[in-house]
Amino acid sequence: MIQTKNLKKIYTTEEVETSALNQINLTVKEGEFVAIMGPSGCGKSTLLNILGLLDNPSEGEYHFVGHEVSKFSERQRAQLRKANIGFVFQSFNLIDELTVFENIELPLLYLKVGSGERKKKVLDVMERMQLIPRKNHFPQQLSGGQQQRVAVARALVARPKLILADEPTGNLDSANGDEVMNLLSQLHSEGTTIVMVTHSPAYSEFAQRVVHLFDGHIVTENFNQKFHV
Amino acid sequence: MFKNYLKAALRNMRLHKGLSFITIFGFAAGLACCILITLFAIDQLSFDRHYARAERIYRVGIVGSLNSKTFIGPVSCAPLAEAMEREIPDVESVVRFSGGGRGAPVVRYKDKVFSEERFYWADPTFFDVFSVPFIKGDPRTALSQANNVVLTSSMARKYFGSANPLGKIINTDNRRDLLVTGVVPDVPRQSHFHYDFVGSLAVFENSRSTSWIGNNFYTYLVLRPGASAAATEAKLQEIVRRNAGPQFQQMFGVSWDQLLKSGAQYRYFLQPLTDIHLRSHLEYELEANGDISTVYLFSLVAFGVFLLACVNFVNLTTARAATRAREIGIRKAIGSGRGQLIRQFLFESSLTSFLAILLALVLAMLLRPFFNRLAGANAQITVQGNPWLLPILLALLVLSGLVAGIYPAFYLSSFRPAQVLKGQLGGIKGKSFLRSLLVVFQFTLSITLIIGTLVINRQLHYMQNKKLGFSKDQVLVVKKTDDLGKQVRTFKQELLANPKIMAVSTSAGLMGDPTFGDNVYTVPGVSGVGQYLFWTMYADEGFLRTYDIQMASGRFFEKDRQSDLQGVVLNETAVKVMGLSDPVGREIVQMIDQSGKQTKITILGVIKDFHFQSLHEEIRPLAFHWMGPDGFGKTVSVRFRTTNIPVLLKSIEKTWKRLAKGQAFEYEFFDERFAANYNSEQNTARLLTAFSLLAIAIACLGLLGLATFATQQRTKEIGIRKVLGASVLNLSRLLSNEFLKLVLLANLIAWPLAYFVMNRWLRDFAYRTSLDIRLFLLSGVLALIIAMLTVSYQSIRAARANPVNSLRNE
Repeated sequence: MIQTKNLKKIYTTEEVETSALNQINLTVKEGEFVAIMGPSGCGKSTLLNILGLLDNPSEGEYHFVGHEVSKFSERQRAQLRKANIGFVFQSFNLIDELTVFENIELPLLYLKVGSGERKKKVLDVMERMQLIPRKNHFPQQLSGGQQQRVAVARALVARPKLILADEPTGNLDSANGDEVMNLLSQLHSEGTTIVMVTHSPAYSEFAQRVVHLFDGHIVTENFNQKFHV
Repeated sequence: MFKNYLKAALRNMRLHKGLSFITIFGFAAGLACCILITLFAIDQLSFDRHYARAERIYRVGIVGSLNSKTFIGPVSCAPLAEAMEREIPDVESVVRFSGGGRGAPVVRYKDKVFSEERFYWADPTFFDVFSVPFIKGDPRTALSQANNVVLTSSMARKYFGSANPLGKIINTDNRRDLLVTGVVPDVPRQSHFHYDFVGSLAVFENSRSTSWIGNNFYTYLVLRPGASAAATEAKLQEIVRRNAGPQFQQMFGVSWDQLLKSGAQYRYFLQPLTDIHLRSHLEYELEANGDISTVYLFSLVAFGVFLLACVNFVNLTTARAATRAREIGIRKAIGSGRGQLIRQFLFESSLTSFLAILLALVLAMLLRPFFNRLAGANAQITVQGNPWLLPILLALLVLSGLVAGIYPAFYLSSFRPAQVLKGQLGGIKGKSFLRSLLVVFQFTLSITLIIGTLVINRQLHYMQNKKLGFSKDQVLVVKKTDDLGKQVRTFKQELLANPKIMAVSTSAGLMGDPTFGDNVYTVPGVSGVGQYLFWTMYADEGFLRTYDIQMASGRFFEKDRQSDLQGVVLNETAVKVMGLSDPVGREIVQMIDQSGKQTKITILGVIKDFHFQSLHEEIRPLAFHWMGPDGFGKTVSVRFRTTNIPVLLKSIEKTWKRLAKGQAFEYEFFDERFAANYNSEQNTARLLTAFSLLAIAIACLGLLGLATFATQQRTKEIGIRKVLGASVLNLSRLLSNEFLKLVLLANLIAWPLAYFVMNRWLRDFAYRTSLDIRLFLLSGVLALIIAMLTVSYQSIRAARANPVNSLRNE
């Protein structure tokens, strides 16, 4: 599903050139759960943004669901993104002005899904996430864990092939963090491909494979034993 | 999707109540002003367009010039109309009329007696040229007989109630009985003249005059379709040369060509009917006209205020970008394309402008009476039945939605989600060049308006206080004294018995009156072109004392000197124009009429120049003639010395009642009457003051909004600086300086701009105030102080906040 070849990302300001990613060769197969770890500033989020089609690489190739996308325009990326990728962020990133229901509904609106089907899909995913009682609440009225559940629901509602999670547990206490991780792992078991950035060694255990980044390079790739049969 | 946009937009507004209010209200105020002025402009431009052939109707005017005086008026001579109809095939129809204003006849029907100012006397073709659908009667025959009269429906009601007016007889001035032959609708307000009665001009002997020199009629003509006005004018000159030439020769003893060669002019010109209201400001206009420059000025101001309001909108929306960046990032990450975001923001701006227009409509409705009062009597805005209102609103909606929304839409939708979601606002957070530019623009406009307002008010003050060469205060003017006839003498004598009354005088015409009589004078010995056209005033011997006018040499008229009727008193300018070195006692010749009749008169004295016209005009040559012991004019001026005006009035009224046999006692104070000359400037000043206030208020609203955002964005910086030891003063200075620099820059642009504009405006006045540098400084300082107050409220609040809170954020 994902294949990068010699991916590079360079940020240039007037004086300095900073290389955020260097020679990244990464492959993620369909149905895989990959965790990306590494210290602050190693390029984890940059990589995730490129994988999520929010940003273009400076050099190298990126194949996503069969397309070479590294030179895609913003418009083309947006098209591909909304049909295939769901995001979960550390800071939830819900829209404050919209209710729980409306936040979850948003991706379907952008996909131009008809209103009857939209309602059904949103309610389905809400039921699954046990969010029905919170349907008409606004994000500020929810706890952090509940907000992240809404964010996950929103990422799921359009049934994307890939879910990208950027430190999804970073702003949560351990109980809520566990809950979110269980959710992700359940999705994985149902066949969704997941790429997750995390600082937590414990949560990286949920992934089949852990990629360690350091100074923009992939330094090691470990396969978690429990997934090896 | 739109439901989603709508929800997001409405909730966003609710979340930022204060700022949304500022945005919408500022926008609405600007739009309301725009709506009012647009309606005003449309109203002004639609004058006289209701006549069927309006585009082909012209008025004949005259340019007459003799030595130092030029007369340009909308009048023409009696035989002109018929000659044109006969000799110029392009003339489809022509009408003459006179009357209106001067010499309002008293109309009687049974017990109803009124003095009617809007009584005109016209040729039978009147309703052919000024076609109206008759309510009763036949337009073709209505004025065919000498004793016919047509009246408007409100006059029909006033005199006859519900009875049929046709066939009724009304009486004018106890002299003529007139048969009502038609009823027409009231003349629409948007006409340059309004009649209540139109009688047959044939009743007047002078309508059959063959003189080409006395211009006593208003002549209007309809040209055939496709005919050229210029060609018609050329033919007109030829007719005039042929007919007026011999008459001039007889009067002055000089041939027509000689006269023209000496620089004299005598020619007729055509004015398009639809230009009269806004572009004609001649002597003897039928009614006070509007002014195209006012329409331009106001339209310019309206456009400026509209831009101000849009600028505010753009500024506030883009400033809010920082707070909305995250939402944009999320929407993009979730799958929104740029186009969808642009549509969303355009939708939001349209929604805002829709709400603003609703509010603007309410504001415009509420402000309408106020605006009408400011704009003056002949500029009315009516909402009902104005077919233009809806299209204007729609246009405004689309225009403002686009103008105000397009930049924020493209700007906001360009955010890169990868950055904004990480809170890296980079370029968004920094000062926006555009935003600064817009603030400078707003304040440039505001400061220019403030300077304009100050200059206009200063000029008004100058005009009201300039030494005029006579004393305009403490003089009461009793009106319609010609009703007293020869009783005026008794009236004056009885008033003088009152110890509070210092002097009285009756005169035909007063200082500042829009129209004056004139006479032609010649100096014997200088033949041919030595003719002078002077303004003429007829007064009694008390005039000098009543208005405290100074003699330069010689004497004024004396009470019992019958021979003074053959005397004249000139002003210094007249003496200078004639080139007389020792004027007192000299004989000059006054032309009596076109037949060449003349009379010798002696210069009794010379009065010092005084401003007998408004300060728009330079002092011109003036000749005083004596009315004689039994003379009476339309007014009696009373110089008094008392502060107890009511008692004075009561005493004068008592005398009046006794002598005037039931005529109402009407009076005004001379200084107010004279000040009416500056009504147009006063209206402009008032409106401009209102607009400047509005402009500065809108600019400040915008500034307040920007300052709010600027401080919100910099809370973290403020927190850090505070932790490091910055004082509240340090911080508020830091936050305010940025804006104050912009206002200073605006001053630098506004000053030359205002200088240029106001210099031009002042050129309309023969006597004018200077453009004092202090006015500019004052405006600048004023704008700076207002801006400082606006910004520092936010700055101080932000600077006083506890840094712990701001640092914990984000």
